[in-house]
Amino acid sequence: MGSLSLLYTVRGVAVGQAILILPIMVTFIVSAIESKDQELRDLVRTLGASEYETSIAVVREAYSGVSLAIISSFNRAFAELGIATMLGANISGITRVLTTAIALETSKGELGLSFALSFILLFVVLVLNYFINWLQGGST
Amino acid sequence: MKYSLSGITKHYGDIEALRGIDLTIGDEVLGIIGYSGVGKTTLLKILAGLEVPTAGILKYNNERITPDNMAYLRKNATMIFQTPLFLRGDVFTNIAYGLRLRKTPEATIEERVEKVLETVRLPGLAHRDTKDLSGGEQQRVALARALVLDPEVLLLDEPTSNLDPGNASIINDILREESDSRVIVIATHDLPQVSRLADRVLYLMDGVISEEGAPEQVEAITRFTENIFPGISRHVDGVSTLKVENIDLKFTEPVEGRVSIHVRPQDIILSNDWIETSARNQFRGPIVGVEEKNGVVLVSVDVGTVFRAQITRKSFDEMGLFLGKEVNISFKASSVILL
Repeated sequence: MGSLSLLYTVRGVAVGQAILILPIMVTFIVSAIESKDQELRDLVRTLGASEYETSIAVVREAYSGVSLAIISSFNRAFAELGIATMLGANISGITRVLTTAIALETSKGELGLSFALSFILLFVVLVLNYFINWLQGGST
Repeated sequence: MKYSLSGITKHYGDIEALRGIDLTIGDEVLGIIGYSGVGKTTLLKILAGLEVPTAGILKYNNERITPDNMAYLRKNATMIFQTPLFLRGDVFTNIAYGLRLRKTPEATIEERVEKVLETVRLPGLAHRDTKDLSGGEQQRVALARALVLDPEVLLLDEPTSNLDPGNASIINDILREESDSRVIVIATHDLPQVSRLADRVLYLMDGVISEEGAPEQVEAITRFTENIFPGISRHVDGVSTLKVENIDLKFTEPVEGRVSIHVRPQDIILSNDWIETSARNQFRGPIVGVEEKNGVVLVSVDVGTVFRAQITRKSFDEMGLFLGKEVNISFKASSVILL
């Protein structure tokens, strides 16, 4: 990371988080698509879909599973501490994020501020989850 | 001649679903009957261009179908599955799906969807979410989704097996109307349905055609109509129970929900008294009918519902059976066949 000038940068933290969530996201998306079984493929093919159109239909029908994969991955990265500390080093104004700030304030004994930041983190996660659920509800 | 099949074989791994099927299908309604797992669905899928045969030659309109031109077959033959499956969205979106794939103009789509909904007796239902449809409505929308494409061939896999008699009768009426304008191939165990609709019937057994002919000529149809019981099955502790009238029929297939089961008359044991046996099904009732056919006797016993048991003339005489006599019938849970 050092030789790529990514260490202690926001970009470095983003790359680290992306590597972390990639397997989670791929596993969730693959299982969502696989759960749309052969019957769905047969249905769209008998209605005249080409192989390409069949794939599009399967991904579209697996939408709720795919969006679940995206939310889970985002939540995982958002509440992650290890990579944010290791690659970002918690530099004030540059790479300090909610989780590293919470860890710092807790270790300083500033429990009030630490709790307040934790609630902000929880609030952001809940609002995002609610928003995605609302989007899903509207589209089904 | 629409289809010509010669030596069609289909393997799934080690399992041989179809073995050397030779068949021609013209402008007709063809019924395919047989127990579960004998290859009915596989044959339909091959006719629909959804499965590639392992061996054999399939021709449609005299054109040989290979994996490269299966799309041609799929454009002309549309299959309807046993359990209707829907894409997300409302009835209109689902029915319009195939037309949109064919790049039909939206104005024409609206017109055709409206018309086909009238054909399936569901006018005004276009904007209902498919999740809110009843079982009967679902199957009729699935039928509409296929009919709107005006296919040359309609392939149906047990279209009425999950339906109540009212909805099944509507589907049968629609199919009768549609049989004038297209070829219909229907796999079913609803034998009255196949007798009324089909011009010709195939009886499939273990992946081969074991009988073929007009419905009244196919002996399997008469054999099959004995001891068929539809109902709701519950599966508890490794045994399934189907309540028929006031008796509980036990069988081993692990299924829940609406099913039809069949007990072959030759699998039913008749006895004058209660017998200690491993058979899970034993009931008592009077003999309500006796019919001798080809050297065997078919005895009807009313145990709450009527069962037909097949015994030899010798057994009938030795047991001293007569009309009205109380007898026991017994059969193993494993001899019950799920249709």
